[in-house]
Amino acid sequence: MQGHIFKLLFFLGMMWHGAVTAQISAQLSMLVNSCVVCHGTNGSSVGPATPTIAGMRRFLFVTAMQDMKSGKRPSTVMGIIAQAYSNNEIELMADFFSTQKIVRYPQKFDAKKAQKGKVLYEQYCKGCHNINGRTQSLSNVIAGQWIPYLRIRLSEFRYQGASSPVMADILEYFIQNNSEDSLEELIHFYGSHQ
Amino acid sequence: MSHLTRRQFLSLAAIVGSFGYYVIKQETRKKVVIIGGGASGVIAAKYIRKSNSSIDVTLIEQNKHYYTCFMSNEVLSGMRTMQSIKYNYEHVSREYGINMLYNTAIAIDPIAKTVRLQNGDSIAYDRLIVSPGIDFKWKSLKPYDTNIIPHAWKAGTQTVILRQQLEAMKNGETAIITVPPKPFRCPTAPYERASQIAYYFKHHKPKSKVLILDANATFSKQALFFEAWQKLYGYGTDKSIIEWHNVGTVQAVNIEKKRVTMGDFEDEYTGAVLNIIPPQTAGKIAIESGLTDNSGWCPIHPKTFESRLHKEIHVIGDACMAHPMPKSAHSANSQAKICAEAVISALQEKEMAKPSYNNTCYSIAGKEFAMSVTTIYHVNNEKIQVYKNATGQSPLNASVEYRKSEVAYAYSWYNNITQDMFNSTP
Ligand SMILES: Cc1cc2nc3c(=O)[nH]c(=O)nc-3n(C[C@H](O)[C@H](O)[C@H](O)COP(=O)(O)OP(=O)(O)OC[C@H]3O[C@@H](n4cnc5c(N)ncnc54)[C@H](O)[C@@H]3O)c2cc1C
Ligand code: HEC
Ligand code: HEC
Repeated sequence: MQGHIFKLLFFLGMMWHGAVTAQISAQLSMLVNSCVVCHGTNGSSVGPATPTIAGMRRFLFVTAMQDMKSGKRPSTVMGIIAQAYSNNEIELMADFFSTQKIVRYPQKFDAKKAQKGKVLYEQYCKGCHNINGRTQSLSNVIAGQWIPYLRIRLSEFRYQGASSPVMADILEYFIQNNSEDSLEELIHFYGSHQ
Repeated sequence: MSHLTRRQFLSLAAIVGSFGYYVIKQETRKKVVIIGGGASGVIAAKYIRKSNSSIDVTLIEQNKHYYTCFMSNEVLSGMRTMQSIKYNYEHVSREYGINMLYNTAIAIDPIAKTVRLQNGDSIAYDRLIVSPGIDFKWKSLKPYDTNIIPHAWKAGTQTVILRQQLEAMKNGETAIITVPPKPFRCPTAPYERASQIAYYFKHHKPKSKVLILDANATFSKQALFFEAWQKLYGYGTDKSIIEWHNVGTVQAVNIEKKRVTMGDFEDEYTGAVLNIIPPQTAGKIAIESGLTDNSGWCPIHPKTFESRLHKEIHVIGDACMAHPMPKSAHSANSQAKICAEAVISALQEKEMAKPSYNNTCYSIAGKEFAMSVTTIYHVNNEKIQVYKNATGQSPLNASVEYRKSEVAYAYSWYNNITQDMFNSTP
């Protein structure tokens, strides 16, 4: 009898314990833990450049991984890293990162530029990348993303546009009507959202 | 259950929620002890606690502060301060409930399953993880004063000494770096170091030179380094700030004359600063506990990192033989996470998740010039192997923007991996 109660106590203890620390599967942890080194805890990067991938919409996460894997989207390291993951594993990781809360860390920005950028944002970008809409369907949340990364991405769209003809066209149109400096202002505007 | 009345059951359940649970937990708690809180050890401690807080984890570390070797080359060029590579264990140990023991482990008893500390204490374990990093193979070299001829291959005071020596040099004098035979800690770091010192010379001592005397005929990212040196430091011209020569190993060191004798031909080289990177082995505690083979490194089962020589002891980080993974902080981090899962699975007698190994080494060759090598591995036939197509380097002759973007990504890697280790910033 004593032994039984003892076991029961233990079992209940473990149940209670399990409920407190809800856990994702060991296999998923194994996959996503390797991304932390560059993308930060649960996908929120402490910067200064590597993007935060927490809170990325599921579909966009999968597209980004597949496009970098195929080479359609330019990258430095991700094109290599993505080779190692099956479609199923990419889906699993998408489930995880898309449900993580975004943690934004402060970054330096030029307040004057950000101010000027606001006007341009309303005119050219708001339709598709609303800063308030954290669940934008078209692209990753760019409000508060790391400024050097935004700069790199925009330059990729302009000079290696294959991954997004839409953004390539928009930026061409934007530059025709504005200037390189005003693009910087937009970047500071987005970067200023923390 | 049938033996209990409903009332008894409820009161028992109440006890579980408070005191009884802990009493039982203490008795049945498994104990993991980890020796060495570096790039691998502290990650193993954190990730065991993170996925299973019913396991008791004790981390034995001899220093209260950890200076990262990674980015320490930037201290040599003056781009970074020592403060910016200095960390402590307070946050991570508090947040994850890791027992810290600031002491030196001096012996392991694999039969009694205990670790003896310098202060005489003995610590019992169910599973032991050994992650002491490297030590130097002085046997192959007559010992000399490393305060005069620094290695700076463990960051801290050594880094400061080398930096001070470089600052004290006169314009036109030469600094020598000797590179030991492979394998050694961080295969690209000697060449990154040469680049960082060249950067400092270019701006402060333009007539000075860095001479790399290498025991190896080829090195990692060689073509990329040559490109960087050509573009930044005039490599290949007679004005070059960097020279690289494959001349064999160090035969003798003359402290007074700051002279090294190299290779079979016993060529002599003299410099104002001598940075000898000595040949290496696994950390002392691994050798003395019989965890190493003739090579001086620890053979392991690649899926679990359990030692091939002693059961229930795992070895991770630079100390283990995880070929073809390089000895790097990124590899160490990856191995620690796999080992954490292996240890938890062994203690709970469950099937382990399929391991995923990865490594990226960034090298910063100049202020706006970095390059990377990336590989993902998997285990196959008891061997770590490169995952098909998942390996590559930065392209040759990439644009200025590309090289610059990799500097920003290298800093991001550094900030995120140290955040992963210490849950705090310097
Ligand atoms: C100049 C330089 C640049 C580098 N750059 C990079 C880079 O850019 N990227 C990269 O990925 N890697 C880099 N590395 C490599 C990286 O530093 C190592 O691979 C990494 O630190 C290995 O981790 P580890 O856990 O095995 O050992 P360590 O990080 O050295 O940790 C070992 C710990 O164990 C402790 N210890 C040892 N013995 C005992 C004992 N008996 N009792 C108690 N405590 C003990 C030590 O105090 C230490 O804290 C670089 C290395 C150098 C030298
Ligand atoms: C060595 C550092 C490194 C590691 C490890 C790494 N990443 Fe990345 N990741 C980057 C960088 C840098 C970029 C920007 C694209 C590029 O240059 O490769 C990026 C971009 C991304 C993006 C695109 C984000 C966007 O806004 O479109 C996704 C998604 C992503 N990574 C997912 C992952 C996942 C999942 C893992 C783990 C399996 C991972 N990464 C591991 C460095 C890394
Ligand atoms: C018509 C809709 C549309 C408009 C308007 C638009 N974008 Fe985009 N944007 C997109 C789409 C779609 C993507 C995703 C492309 C991809 O990743 O392949 C994107 C992606 C981006 C990204 C990369 C996000 C990431 O995480 O990698 C940035 C940065 C960006 N846009 C900035 C801007 C700016 C600045 C403007 C205003 C000048 C703008 N966009 C206007 C549709 C739009």
